[in-house]
Amino acid sequence: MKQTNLVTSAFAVLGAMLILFLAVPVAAMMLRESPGSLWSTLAESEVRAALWVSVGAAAISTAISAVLGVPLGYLLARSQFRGKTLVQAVVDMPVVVPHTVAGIALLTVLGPQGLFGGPAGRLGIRFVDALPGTVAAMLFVSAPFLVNAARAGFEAINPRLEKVSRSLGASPARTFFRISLPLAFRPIVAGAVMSWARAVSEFGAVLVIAYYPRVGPTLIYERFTSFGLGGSRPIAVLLLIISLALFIALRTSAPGVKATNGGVRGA
Amino acid sequence: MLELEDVSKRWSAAFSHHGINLSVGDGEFFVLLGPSGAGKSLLLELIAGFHSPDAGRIRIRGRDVTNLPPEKRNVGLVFQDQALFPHMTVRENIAYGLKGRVAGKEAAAERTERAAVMFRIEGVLDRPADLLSAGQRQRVALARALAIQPDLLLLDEPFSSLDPPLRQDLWREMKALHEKTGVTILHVTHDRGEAAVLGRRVAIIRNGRIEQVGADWSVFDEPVNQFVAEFTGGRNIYAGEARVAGEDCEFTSGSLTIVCVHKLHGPCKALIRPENIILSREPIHTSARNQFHCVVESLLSLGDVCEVTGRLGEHRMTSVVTARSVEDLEIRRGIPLYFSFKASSVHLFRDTTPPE
Repeated sequence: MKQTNLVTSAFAVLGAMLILFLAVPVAAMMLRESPGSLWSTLAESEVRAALWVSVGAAAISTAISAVLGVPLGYLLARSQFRGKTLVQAVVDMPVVVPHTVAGIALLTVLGPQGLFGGPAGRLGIRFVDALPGTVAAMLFVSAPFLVNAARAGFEAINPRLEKVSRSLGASPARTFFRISLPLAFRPIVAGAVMSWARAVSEFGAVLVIAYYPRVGPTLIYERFTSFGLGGSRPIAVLLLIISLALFIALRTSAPGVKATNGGVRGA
Repeated sequence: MLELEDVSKRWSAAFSHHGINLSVGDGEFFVLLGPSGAGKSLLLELIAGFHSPDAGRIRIRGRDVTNLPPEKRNVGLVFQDQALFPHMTVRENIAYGLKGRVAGKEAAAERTERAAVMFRIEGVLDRPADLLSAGQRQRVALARALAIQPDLLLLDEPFSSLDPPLRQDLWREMKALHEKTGVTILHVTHDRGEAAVLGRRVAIIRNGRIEQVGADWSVFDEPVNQFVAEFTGGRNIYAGEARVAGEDCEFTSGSLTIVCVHKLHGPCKALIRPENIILSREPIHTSARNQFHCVVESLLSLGDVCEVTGRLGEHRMTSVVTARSVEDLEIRRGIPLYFSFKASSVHLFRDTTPPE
């Protein structure tokens, strides 16, 4: 039989309290809704539209994060440059900025008179109360997850693999696409899933810059203020189910190479 | 073949390479030997092209490669940890460098097979690279580096992580391979045994400086300073004064006077390799002109051989003999023995070891 000591038991009790606090409200909320009420809520076009905007805008934001963030993650993992600490601090900053503050900051530059909003407006791109605004808000709050996951993924690769690749005649670009990227693929996908989940859950920043088109959380808030708990809960449960389902599906089926000792430093 | 001309590089406030000059001939098996932290691996990285030197030139086959990126140098590289691409099969690993080098898929496949046969890994070609034994991994790394037919093969402590029997197998294979292919090899190690077995020429590096370069025997038998003497396993090193007297040279250190062939005058050090000292119960009459009657102070068994240290006044003298001789001569602590060596076995050097 496995031995347990007092410390382990005490930690287990403390940990269990936290786990219950996290799991019970979510479970209770889901159990209060019948499949019938969920189905009829899903039949509302307004609800379906909001859920689509949430899922779709988060996907676009994650794609932008990946295209811009994976290269940044690689630089942070492999290069030494002046101001690297500052760059890393900027990457981490959105995590500590309150969401409404992020929204106001974005509105300042993306609004019609803003630094980017003005020129973009002349090209016909509007951020305020439009999908680009929703995507911008989501990108701001979710990008750190992808950049940091990519950085950690690249850092875990033995730098000698890249050196050998170069010595065998591969250019830096070929080395990146044949060696570094495939080996960091799993952590990057995991980071993308986290980034997507964070984007779907964003409310404050989205609310400030783009009330419309309504995302799931905005609609839930609107229903809550007008109709109370009973009126908002079915949408809340729907959003939760969709998020969890996609989250679990992506986390478990992430393609790519297994993390093996051969690719990890110090193996 | 490979020439380093006054190569300098400041890596940090604490470590630099200072004016490294090195020349490796075509087809040579050259060993760079030094303690850890001496800058061996960083020097390989300069030669492979991952960093540029601050000053000096690097030439491979007469071509100045100082400012060429690694992929343009045609240099094979094998690391201690093998660095196999874990997401590829053995075949893909070996064929990796053939893209753009060998025209046509069939030619590349054939070259891959040939490299695999040479290293006896043709049976595991389709296995994932991370499911191999340590010896197979090292053979794949060597096959992959040699498949590109490099001008120069750089080996960075390739056998250090292997167990001794396997390491010795690979030494033999490496020597055979070198004789067969004639590829120029620059091999980095901190193991003087490995250097003695593999290298035709050896350079001793310490603290970013080359201390001595020469044929393996000359570096081991005729060190230029105390560091090289000690690092290459020298045991009997005495500080004293030498005086040329007619045909010979006489070296004195306290009560110890040694006759040597090697001529030097003034303050210097004398080195006698333990394996050149013969032990006997009775005085022997041979060409060995130095004979000392010492009392055995300690015995240290090293498996097949045994280190016997005798005491002679204020000095100690160590000889290495076979375990069999220890039995035959009934060597024990406290017994008197004759330690004899030839005048030609004594190497004198000025101690020019610069401070750390």
